[in-house]
Amino acid sequence: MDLRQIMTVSGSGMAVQSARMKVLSENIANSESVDGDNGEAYRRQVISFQTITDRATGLKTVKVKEVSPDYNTPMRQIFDPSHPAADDKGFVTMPNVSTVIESTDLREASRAYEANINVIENTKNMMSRSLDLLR
Amino acid sequence: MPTLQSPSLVNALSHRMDYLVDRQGVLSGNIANASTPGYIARDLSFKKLVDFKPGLKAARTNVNHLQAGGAGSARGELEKDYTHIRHDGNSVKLDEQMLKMSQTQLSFTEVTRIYQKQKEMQIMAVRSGR
Repeated sequence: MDLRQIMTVSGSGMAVQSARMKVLSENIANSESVDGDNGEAYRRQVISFQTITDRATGLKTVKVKEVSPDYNTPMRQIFDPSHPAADDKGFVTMPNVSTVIESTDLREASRAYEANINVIENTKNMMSRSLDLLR
Repeated sequence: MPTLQSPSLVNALSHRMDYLVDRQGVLSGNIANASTPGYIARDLSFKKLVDFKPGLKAARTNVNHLQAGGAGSARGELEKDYTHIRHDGNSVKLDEQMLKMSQTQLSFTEVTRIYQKQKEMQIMAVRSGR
């Protein structure tokens, strides 16, 4: 195994965490959107990952499995008859996004992203130390 | 009688260096998969050179079968960490992984320094102490 190949593992970790951050920030930005392309309120998006094992080296990279809408969390119903999107009973369907949950998740994603950057730094140091042996 | 070359020391050092690189691979896999559901953290423990048997590989009868003894078991014992499995099945403790990685890096520095000293000593011997 080569130190260079190890960097691709961390690279995949970084890519996956930044995809996660993209989904999370979309959720937060649209946490009050009552209308969209499909005429319905915004539905929370959830991202999931999967491990890919390289057969030759045994290294475990990660990649995005899918980004799917969250049908498990119910949409919020708010009573506000004055709202332009209120139905005939006066209820407005709001997105099933909790900004608290998304922000906490965002912090975790950012921490994982930094951890992957540290791995690359570490691996880079190891490589330069082995190169120093050539001196 | 002491010889000019110390192949056993160089062998031991390069074996340890290979182990450290393999371990770095395993640890970076853990960190990259810190959010993957069902992923169990792994670590590599050092297998002494005495117990290391290169070239023993299980026969593969089908090209789709995974190769037994992948990089993980080549120079170390692969251990799985089943403590603290979270609700999504992931068992990676990020802080612990970072700590292990700095240990690996420190050991790597140690090994390269020893190798360098060894080299300098040999050069000095060749030059007869000049």
